[in-house]
Amino acid sequence: MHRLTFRPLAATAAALTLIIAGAVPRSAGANDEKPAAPTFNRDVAPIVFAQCAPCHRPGEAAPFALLTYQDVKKRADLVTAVTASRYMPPWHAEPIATAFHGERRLTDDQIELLRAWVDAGMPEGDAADLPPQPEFTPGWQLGQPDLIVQMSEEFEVPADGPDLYRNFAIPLGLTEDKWVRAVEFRPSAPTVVHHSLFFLDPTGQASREPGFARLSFEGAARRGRGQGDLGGGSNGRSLGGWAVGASPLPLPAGLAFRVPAGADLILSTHFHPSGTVERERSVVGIYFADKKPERSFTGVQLPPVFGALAGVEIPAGEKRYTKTDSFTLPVAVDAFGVNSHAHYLGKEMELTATLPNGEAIDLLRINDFDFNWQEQYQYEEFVRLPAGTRLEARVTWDNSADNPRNPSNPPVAVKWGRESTDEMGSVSLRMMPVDEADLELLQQSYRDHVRAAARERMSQRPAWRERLKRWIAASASNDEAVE
Amino acid sequence: MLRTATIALLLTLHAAFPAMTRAAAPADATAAPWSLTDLAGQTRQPFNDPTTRALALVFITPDCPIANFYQPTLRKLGEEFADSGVPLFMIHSDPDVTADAAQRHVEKFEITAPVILDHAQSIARRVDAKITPEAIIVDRAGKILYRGRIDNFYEALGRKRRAATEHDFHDALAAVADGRPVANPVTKALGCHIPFAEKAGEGEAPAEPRTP
Repeated sequence: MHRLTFRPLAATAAALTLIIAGAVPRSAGANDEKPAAPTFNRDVAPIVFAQCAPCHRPGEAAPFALLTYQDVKKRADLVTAVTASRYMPPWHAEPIATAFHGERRLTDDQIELLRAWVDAGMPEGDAADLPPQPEFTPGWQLGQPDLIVQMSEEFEVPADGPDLYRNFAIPLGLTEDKWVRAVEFRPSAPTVVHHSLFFLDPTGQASREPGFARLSFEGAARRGRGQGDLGGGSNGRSLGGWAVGASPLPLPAGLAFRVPAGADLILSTHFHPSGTVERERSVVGIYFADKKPERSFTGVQLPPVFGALAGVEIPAGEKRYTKTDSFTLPVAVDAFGVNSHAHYLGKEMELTATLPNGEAIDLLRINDFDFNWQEQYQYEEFVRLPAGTRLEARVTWDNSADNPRNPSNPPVAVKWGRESTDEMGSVSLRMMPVDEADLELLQQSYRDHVRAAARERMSQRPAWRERLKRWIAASASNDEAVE
Repeated sequence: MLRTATIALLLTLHAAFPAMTRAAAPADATAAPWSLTDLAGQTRQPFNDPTTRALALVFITPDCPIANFYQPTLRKLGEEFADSGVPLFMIHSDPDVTADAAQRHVEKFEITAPVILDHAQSIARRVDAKITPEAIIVDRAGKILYRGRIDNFYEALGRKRRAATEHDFHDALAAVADGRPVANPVTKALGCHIPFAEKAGEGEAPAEPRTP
């Protein structure tokens, strides 16, 4: 319950701000004093340059440029409509006490300001107020990569039809183990590539398997379970991901992913047809650390194995189906990243931490989960969680006909699985133990948590014994751990 | 107080310039014969053909992703209703779209319907179009028979269904071609806003359904 304490306060503050902001022009008008109308140069340009222009400029994924007064004036109706609805800029996590890196979220005040500017007739303002044009780094955002790889062939995205999800295996050709601190993704057809999640196949099997790339959705290779379940699946090791609008981001504090020799990179890419046939051949830049990092990180996923052990069975038509899981940290950690996964029925995602002193912290809250925006959130600063902190995850699905994303019409009962019409659901937190020596204890404790969940599931479904053994093995090697 | 003044002002404007207001616009569509000049310079007066029942106008912009997404669907609709007495036209009402840009757009998206440059935005104003893509079917008498979306693939901006379940524009075309009333004559178009050269009045509410 503690975690609820600061939210109403924030909401009240936001509402109060709105009331005050809304009240100013009216009272000023009543007194016949001209309120200072917002101008483009002074008020609007700083917002647009920071939050819109990174994508809305030539050569980027967004459809038109928003770089000048004329650009924005021409689109003013659209800009006010899509900012008011929060469709733009695209950002799906609710604000929490801890800022996210690259948070593309306008404040209520900024949205109100844009509307007030349009209402005032879109004044340009004093040229002296105009901030300098934003400068963008051409090419690789993180500098020249240490290794550049590319999809082995083009993938043709059809002109129309539903969105597509495809996996592409790219051999990295590494002859020795390497440490990866960042991955930068560059689509060749940015208008149709919506997001891509990066995974490792440590065995290098994926690129040797003909037809791997044709497998749909989660892209689970059918043979060699436990090794082949890759893209978005249960034991492909995540290397992060990219979505429209995201800028590449190295792991913090010199942390790095271990990439074994002979491993394949898997791109699990989401395409949205654009009305004309496009051909995509993504290029990926990989940045290595010079040596093995001094510090290690690991992941805690709740419920584990993307919800495979949680007994997800969503009745047809169920509007709010919820699973929760909790895990108490045995050691102090610094959390730095969070992400969540579900399929089309996923609706809400929540991860909270209750500290030993009773203080509650929101770590992730998504009120309108969208499978198309599986972003990798990274906190701007480490979030210190003392030993004894209880992590609590809640995943909610909407299997009603009201959910426009529901792939079944009318809705059907849905269970956990890898296909697009199955469901998964979990929230993952990435963390670094405050004391490096605590890593093993942390990982062991999480493995125990997974085993307990598996045992409980097994007691309900004896026939699952074999399948669960595989999943436990998978989760032990999964968890994004530096080894 | 300010609000009262605004309402009074709007009422005055309404009285002075009824043609500018939303409700009056469809009636205005009777004012002149339809004359549409396509990119190739060919001028068409479709109602000179006695078999023409109505015009199907789809407002587009080259840089609107939703309008572009629908081009394959629109191509199929154009083929299906080619000889149905409801000719299909694509209308660019953005004054910044040059003939060259429109031609490149035609080639890229393989547009087969005649494409009309509406730089004066008179076509958009005549039928009260505000969104791209917005589909409008207007009959010989200037009556709007259908106004709205192509289908319901988009539930909201950025929120798509796996497949459309309501094919409103298709159904409207079929009804008009058969001489039947359109069952669902007003739907909500979703997409980009037509950039009018000057704000034509109220402005802020996007894409609210309007009565034909």
